[in-house]
Amino acid sequence: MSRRMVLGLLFLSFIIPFGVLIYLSVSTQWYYPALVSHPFTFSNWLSFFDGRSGLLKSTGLSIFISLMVSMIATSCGFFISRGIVYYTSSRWWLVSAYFPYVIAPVVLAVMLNYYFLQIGLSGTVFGVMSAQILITLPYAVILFYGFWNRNIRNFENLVATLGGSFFDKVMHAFLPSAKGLLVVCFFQCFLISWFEYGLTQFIGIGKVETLTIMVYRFVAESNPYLAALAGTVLIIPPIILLFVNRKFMFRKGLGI
Amino acid sequence: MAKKLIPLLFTVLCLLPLGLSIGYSFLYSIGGVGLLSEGLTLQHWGDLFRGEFLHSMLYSLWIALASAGGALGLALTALFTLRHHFQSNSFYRLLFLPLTIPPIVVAFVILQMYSGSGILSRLAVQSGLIDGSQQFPALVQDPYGIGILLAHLFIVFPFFLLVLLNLYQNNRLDEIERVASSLGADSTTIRFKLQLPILMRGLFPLLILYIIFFMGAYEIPLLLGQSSPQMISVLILEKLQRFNLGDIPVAYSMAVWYAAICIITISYLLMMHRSKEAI
Repeated sequence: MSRRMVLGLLFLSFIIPFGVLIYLSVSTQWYYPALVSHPFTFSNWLSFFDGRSGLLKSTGLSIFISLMVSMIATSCGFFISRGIVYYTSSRWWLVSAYFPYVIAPVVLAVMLNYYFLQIGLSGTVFGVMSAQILITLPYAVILFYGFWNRNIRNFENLVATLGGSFFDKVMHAFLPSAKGLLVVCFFQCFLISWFEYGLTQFIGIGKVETLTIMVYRFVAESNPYLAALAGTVLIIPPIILLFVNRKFMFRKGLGI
Repeated sequence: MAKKLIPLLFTVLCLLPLGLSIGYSFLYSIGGVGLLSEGLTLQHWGDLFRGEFLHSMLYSLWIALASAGGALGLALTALFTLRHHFQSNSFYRLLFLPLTIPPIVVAFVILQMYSGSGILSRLAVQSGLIDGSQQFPALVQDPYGIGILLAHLFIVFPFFLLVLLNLYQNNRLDEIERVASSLGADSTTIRFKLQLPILMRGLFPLLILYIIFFMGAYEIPLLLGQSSPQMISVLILEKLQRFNLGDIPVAYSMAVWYAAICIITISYLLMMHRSKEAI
């Protein structure tokens, strides 16, 4: 088999899932063993846009949760990482940031659930957001940890020497230097939140119906058409982010 | 003020919830709290190493090692054989595509493709290879976790390849190859004694992280795994949500042990990495 054929097969395997999702989202009555001889319809998509399937509401909710979580995690993580680098000397601070991040989110949710129930956060959008921030915030801290190097500190000192306040440092030293990393962190946190299922399901107790929850619900209801539709909607934002983010993601790629 | 405030904020926002949750789970697991608690006991911990937990941990480890090992093997093969093709802008960018699909959607697609009534089975019937779904081999919800492995490979193989391509470029392995070749080294020696150790040193922390992530995978084994043995996250949730209240302390014991294993592993890994950097 030639190398080009292997490459073709490789990329075919990457493309097939997108094809399967779109194909099923416009299918109906897809009974075994039919492959293409079943009826096709846009009614699933129409039910998405007119709100009957509940997916439009889930999409809005997912976007709201992911945007809020990524904004809070990125902004807090940025300044917390600065504090940890500048004001602590032990490496354990960085190591401990990995702890919430490496434990499976659903197991973290199981262990946290008692407190969420006591505070009344279980089954609420705010509860799901709080739980997701517990994962994304340490991730942001880890991501920004390497940013606070000697150059940034010198730059910061220069602004201070010229009489700049902390606000001036932020505006003229931190933000211009960290712009790219802030965008990458925002998108990464957005994706962590957007992809999250287990923790959202357990803390949200099924009441917070994000898109990932809807995918599983439709699969459990043996409705592959709406599950595929929800799956298609789920992959649209990451693809847009990939396109918008390409300047930052591809910059280091093979000198391209 | 900020000197104390920021680390305190980090502790309150990140570490305190984790510490409290592990503490509560620990107390529940030894009978310190809970609806049916009859006083402190180590019975639930003792039970763990005789039954489901041990099987589940070994099964999770097998899935994690096979997924990470498989993805690494495929990525290294692709790197050494197809590397030049990825210098093309469009091919390189295509590697990012699988990273845009959430794990639950990957699991759903694998289910639709490889299940008894899936697309491959339908293709086999239409082409006359089999007569019905019962003749199609079990590729999902199977004892070996083939469906789970396929889903994990789909997610992580392109990522490993992207990392390896960058490591290859950043470590100037092309130049090393040229120099070694001019000194008389054969291609096997260059691959396995020069390039592979450099690549593995760069990839090792990521590999361990992924093994930990795969061990705790939830949504993929939930859809594609069998009912016994289950992966650890699925088993913990099942124990916790059963009607038998007696299973709840067992679920918390499993959660505590699993969390402890994750924390110890990552601490060891990061501290070891630090020691190597220091050397």
